[in-house]
Amino acid sequence: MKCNEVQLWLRTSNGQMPAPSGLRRHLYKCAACRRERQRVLKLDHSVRRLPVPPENPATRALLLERIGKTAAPMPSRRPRLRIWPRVLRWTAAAAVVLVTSWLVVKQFRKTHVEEPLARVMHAGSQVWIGPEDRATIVRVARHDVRLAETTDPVEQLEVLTALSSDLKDEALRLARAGKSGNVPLLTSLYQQVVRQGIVGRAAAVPADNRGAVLGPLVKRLQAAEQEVDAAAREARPLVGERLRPLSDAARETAALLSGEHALPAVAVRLPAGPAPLLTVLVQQGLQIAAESNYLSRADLCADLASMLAPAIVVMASEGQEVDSRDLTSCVNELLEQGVADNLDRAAEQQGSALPAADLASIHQRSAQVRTTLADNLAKVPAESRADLQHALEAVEQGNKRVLAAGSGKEKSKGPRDIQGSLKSTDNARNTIVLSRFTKIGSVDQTFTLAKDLTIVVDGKPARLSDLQLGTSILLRLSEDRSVVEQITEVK
Amino acid sequence: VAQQAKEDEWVRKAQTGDRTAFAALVERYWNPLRRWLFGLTGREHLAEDFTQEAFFRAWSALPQLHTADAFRAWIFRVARNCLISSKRGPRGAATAALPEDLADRDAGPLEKVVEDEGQQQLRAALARLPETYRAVYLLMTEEDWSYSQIAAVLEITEETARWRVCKARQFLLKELRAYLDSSSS
Repeated sequence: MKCNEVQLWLRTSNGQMPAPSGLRRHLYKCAACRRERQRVLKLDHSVRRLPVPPENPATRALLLERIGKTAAPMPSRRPRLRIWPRVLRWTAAAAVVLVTSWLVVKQFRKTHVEEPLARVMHAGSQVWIGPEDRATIVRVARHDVRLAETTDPVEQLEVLTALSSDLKDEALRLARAGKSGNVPLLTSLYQQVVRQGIVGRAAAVPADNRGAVLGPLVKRLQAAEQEVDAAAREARPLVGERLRPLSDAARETAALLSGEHALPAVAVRLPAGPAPLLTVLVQQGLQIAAESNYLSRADLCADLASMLAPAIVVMASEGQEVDSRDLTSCVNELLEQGVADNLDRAAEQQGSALPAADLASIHQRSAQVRTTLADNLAKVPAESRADLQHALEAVEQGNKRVLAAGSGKEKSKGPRDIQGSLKSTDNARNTIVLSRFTKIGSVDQTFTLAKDLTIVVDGKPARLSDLQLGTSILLRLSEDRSVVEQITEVK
Repeated sequence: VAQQAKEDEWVRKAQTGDRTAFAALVERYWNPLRRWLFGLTGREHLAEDFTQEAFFRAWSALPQLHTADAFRAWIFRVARNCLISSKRGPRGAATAALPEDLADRDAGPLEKVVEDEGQQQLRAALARLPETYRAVYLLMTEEDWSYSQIAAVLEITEETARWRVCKARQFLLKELRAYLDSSSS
């Protein structure tokens, strides 16, 4: 996609439409469009948060007084129901009461049993979010989404390099800001990404392409080494020492990739105690990158999505709407591109539907995202509820995709009826160009006309020349969507 | 689902003249409607008057509402019609006169609240935005409505609603570029 198409999409998006993959890829690479997206999000957020003057209760009281003095409206006459519809209605009402009571009791129990919101649990162990980690978590999650989408080692290397740069930049930022407490964690993660992730994926690049791919990568690592060394020299001695592992890892990895000498085996040690979410995200991303089995990739992605759900709750409850929405978008993409698409690929590779037990396990983990968000909806502060509700609605789409994936069924071919305005006709090629307003903005699409094409104008048969450019028309495509069978003018 | 079922029940009861059920509907939709109307008129006393008038008209016209679950869109449409008819001059329905002892909201403590510069800029830009765009954009941002729901309220097509949001954002992004860049950094 081009910048103008992306920006048009951003301006028409209402947050309920999934972003096309081309758009996500563009945003990943284009800083200008990312900034534009931030502006749009900030604009909507600011408008949503504009204070409304306090209500004057007297006005509402006056309304109720007016209504009290006015005669009740005449109820509309309804036909008398026969006995069976009545019985059905009472049965339905009883069912609604029972279900509602059950939901209330269930919710009541949950409210009194669950852990407080601040405690984020994953796979039985505690995961925490550091005070400086929010923005980095969102960036790492976005890299993880990209790693979930691709199995191409060259693309994966690109993502891992960007991930390592983000970790290094954050470490340098904290060191410069005098907040070096989190620097050891970031340097550990950086080491993991370059020594395990980048080296591992570099080995998977086909030999004939390796030189072209690894050359620029080595240069970037060398530049990173120099940047960190310079920052370490400027910093206080203790902080400088904390930064050294970054330049060591960059230098040694660059040396290994350029084939100068072997990299010494390094055991990366992570800080003891409960794992920060940042660590879990980086490690999970590395696992996804190294995994070639589609089913396992889907499994890892479902796991990752379920880990991110508590982070959405935490960010939403802290009022960080932009970060919370970004993370929601990541989770939805993980469900769609990471889980569902990988399940489809696994089914396609296998030539049949996937084993029910495997699917059930993945479905359950994917559904955990929704459960986490729904369970916390009532617990977050009232002003954050809209953000969480938005997240809940957004992940519904991802969950639907996951439930439909892996069945081995053929994908939908798209709609047969397409509406738009006639932009041009080409008699020589027997084609027309239709201008359509889609989720990504206004697009022109060329259609081939069937030999036995029928054209209807004012309910009567007509010829192509009877249609004026700019006319709104409805196309009926053939069963295989290859040609247009009928064009109807729409008034 | 349970909430919607409850609301449908209130609508059905209100259609038969149950004032308590209608009061419950007022309770639920008063603030969203007032907020939207405040965004459109920019004046709090007008927003309150139109909110009151919309609910009053809705009370009289409730039996004409065929599907109880469409109440939300319907009450916003009624409010919009109130706003339109008020602009048509004396033929428009007059709102009920406020009692004399009602506090003067314009002179109230809100005047003393100093909004930050960003909010002032935002309000000013919204005020300059054409009303047709503003109505759609506010329903989308403040009420989180889908394009089809907005289209139903404003009696336009979904494509028109989408286009108006696009134009609204385009206008506001241009007007507020400095503010958005400074606050997003």
